[in-house]
Amino acid sequence: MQLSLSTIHKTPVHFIQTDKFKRLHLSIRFFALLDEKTVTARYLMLAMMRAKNKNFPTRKALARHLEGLYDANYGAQATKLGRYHILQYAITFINPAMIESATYQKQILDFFASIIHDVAFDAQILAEEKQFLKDYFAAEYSNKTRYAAKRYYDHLYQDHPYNIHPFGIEKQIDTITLADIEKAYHAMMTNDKIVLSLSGDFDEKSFQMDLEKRFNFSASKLPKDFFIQHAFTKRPPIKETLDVSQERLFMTLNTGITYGDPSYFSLVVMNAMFGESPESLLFETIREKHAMAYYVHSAYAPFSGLITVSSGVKKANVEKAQSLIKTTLAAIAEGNFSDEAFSMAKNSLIIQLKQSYDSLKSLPNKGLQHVLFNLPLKKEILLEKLNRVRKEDVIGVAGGCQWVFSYVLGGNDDEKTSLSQAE
Amino acid sequence: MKKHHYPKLNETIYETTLDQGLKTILIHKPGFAKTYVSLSAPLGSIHQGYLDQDNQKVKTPSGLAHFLEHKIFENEARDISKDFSLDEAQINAFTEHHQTTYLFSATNHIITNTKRLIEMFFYPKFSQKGVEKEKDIIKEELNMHLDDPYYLQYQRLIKNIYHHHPIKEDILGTEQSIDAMDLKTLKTMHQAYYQPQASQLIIVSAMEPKALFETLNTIKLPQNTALKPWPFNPSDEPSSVAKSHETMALDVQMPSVLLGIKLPVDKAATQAQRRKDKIALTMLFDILFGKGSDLYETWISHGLINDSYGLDIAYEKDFAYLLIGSESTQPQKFLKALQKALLEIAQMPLQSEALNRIKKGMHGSFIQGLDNMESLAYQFCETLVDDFIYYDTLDILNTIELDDLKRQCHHIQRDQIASVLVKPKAV
Repeated sequence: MQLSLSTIHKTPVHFIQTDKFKRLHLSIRFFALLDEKTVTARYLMLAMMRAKNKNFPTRKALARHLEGLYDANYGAQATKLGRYHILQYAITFINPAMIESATYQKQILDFFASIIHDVAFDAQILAEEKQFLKDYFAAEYSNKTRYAAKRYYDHLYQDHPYNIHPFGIEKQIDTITLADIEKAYHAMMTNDKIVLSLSGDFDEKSFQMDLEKRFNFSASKLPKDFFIQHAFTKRPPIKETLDVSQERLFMTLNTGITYGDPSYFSLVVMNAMFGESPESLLFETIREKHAMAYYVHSAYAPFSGLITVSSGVKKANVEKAQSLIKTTLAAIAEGNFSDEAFSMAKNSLIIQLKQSYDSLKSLPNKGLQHVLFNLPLKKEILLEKLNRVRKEDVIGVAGGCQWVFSYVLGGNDDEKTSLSQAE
Repeated sequence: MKKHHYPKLNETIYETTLDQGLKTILIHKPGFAKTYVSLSAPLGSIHQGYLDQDNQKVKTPSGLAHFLEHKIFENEARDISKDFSLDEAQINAFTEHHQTTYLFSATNHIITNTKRLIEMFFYPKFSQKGVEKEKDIIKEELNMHLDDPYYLQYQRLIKNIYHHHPIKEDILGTEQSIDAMDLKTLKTMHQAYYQPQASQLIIVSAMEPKALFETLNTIKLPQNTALKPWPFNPSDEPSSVAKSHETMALDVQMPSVLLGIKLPVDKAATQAQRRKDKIALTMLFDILFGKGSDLYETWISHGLINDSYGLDIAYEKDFAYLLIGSESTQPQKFLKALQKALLEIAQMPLQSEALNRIKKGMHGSFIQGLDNMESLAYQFCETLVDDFIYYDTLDILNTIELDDLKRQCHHIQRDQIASVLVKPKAV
């Protein structure tokens, strides 16, 4: 895999060459600070651009055009990266070399350019997308595993800038007007930081020329200030009640270690051994030894430095599970784990890392992480960093972690308040 | 060993048969670091028992295939996943209505891991103690699903579509059937169904075939036992649905509609014919009910559906159905409109321009799928029955005409349609 950093006029473009795929992946990402005043309009604008435009004036016309382009897979999505709101427009399509068509590359790029430039915002599509967004928030309640996670993060980030959902704020949906959408579009095209990315097996010169003909943004540099310094202090646990078949529990561990920290790789190994890998100590303790849960998992968020442990257990086992989760971490901090557990944790990360280079869609992220966070691009350097982590390093980072919050969504009992009362 | 090269796709596969008739395919993928291997047995949730030495039917608890899937990982009181992990591989498994698949992905020690997969699959070493412990874990898995209304809606629809077809049973079984599992029954079902000549090994890898096949050929596999799968006869099932509509009041804020069409199954059809029928049916519904259809555009603009709308087709030897569903703030209206459209399907115009567009789209999807190791292995496994090679799909696609699509319309009759509407329960 080769990364070549180029520019389209002033705007950065990452060309990532690899010859094993039969598809190409082209994306454009817009970065703006996550702000509750703009996030909802930005999301609705993206959704409207995804649905139709001047050249494809109905959803049907757009869908049919993509089918005719050998089912080119076009999507737009909103995500967040630290304090940034990212709007990504991407298209995956078969390598033009696979079909007998001299114009396929041009057709794909014309379509992609029209998505960005030939926008058509109208009241009908705004109303439809507003309804979809309301439905999306309403449906979050349906699956109780998903709903419990939503409630947990609402509480965890209640006073933190990371609490803003990348799809916007539910209460604002009705207030957004067409003028807000136009304004959001203008701001995105003129103020956002932008990066383009193309991955696969392609002729760089030809794409460079074709992209230059179609895109000319004023944005020249990518942002660097992704982190928010915000201490996560200990807070009281929260229990909420709902008629569920299984109690969902969440526990928060503050590690104090974020992306780029010298202990980052030690923490990643520690978390894999603790609860992230399929053969983790939590899996072994909670599921295999005590048969209390079907799933137990820990997830590390490198922008906040928090680890979230989640599981589903029956009511009688909640306290025991919470205690076992704490004991499992304490054992790591005391060095009370086997060489086998340590090797399995590293291996799970090694597999994950090596496999990620076999996924076309993960390649643009690798380019971005390299440019934004100085994360090495070469697999070999990353593997070496993982391999260099020693047992002492893992013991050290585990010892520095603190339990700061816990949340349970579970069935009724006398001690708990109902959800409506808790709100 | 047979080699098949597909110059237009720039793909090569190698085919061989291992000891006791285990069909094996290597899909050669130079350049990929990952190897993906899957091994499938024809035991799914619809298989309700076995035939003993005297050819007598013996019924087993529902959810057995899934329970067995969990227990295959227990290797003399140790979780065998650990041995895979120590050799740089990650193992997993899943149970469907018609089969159980074990798989791993690895970035090292490919031959050792493949041997380990084959050995754990054919020679399991689990204990009664392990069976007892697993009951609590699987009950929690079931509890997790019971809090998912879409899962409940799907299960109810399948129950309502079928009269007595065993597909009505939940893949996980029930709390009672989970409690009824014992070591002997699990081992007996394993002997009846996990037989080499009925299983399929699919390897997607950059590895060269010679060394791989030579080592795998040295593995001794179990001979057929006197036990046999319980033969399945779909003709016992009427063509109509058991119950045409039901409303479920669940703890949701967003109502949703799921409609199912019961499709006929032709046991005598060849795999190629079944592929052709499935492709024609998929095309028909993509054109008339897909995201490029007039109906979709109308329903969206009238607020009858939202972007959760989707279609799904299951097309197996022993069962076939088509699902259409969406969340909807006007569920009754949407359901009515959908039913009306389905009953008028034979009168809807089908033009060759649409057929050509859909063909081009499916051609593109097929090529895009060649980059996805997991999906390739699955597709090969699904089609390997009757010696059909998945890479021949494009040839079938090219033979499809408008008449093939029109023929599919006859399968859509009023008494073959069932629906389940989920609405918020009254507080």
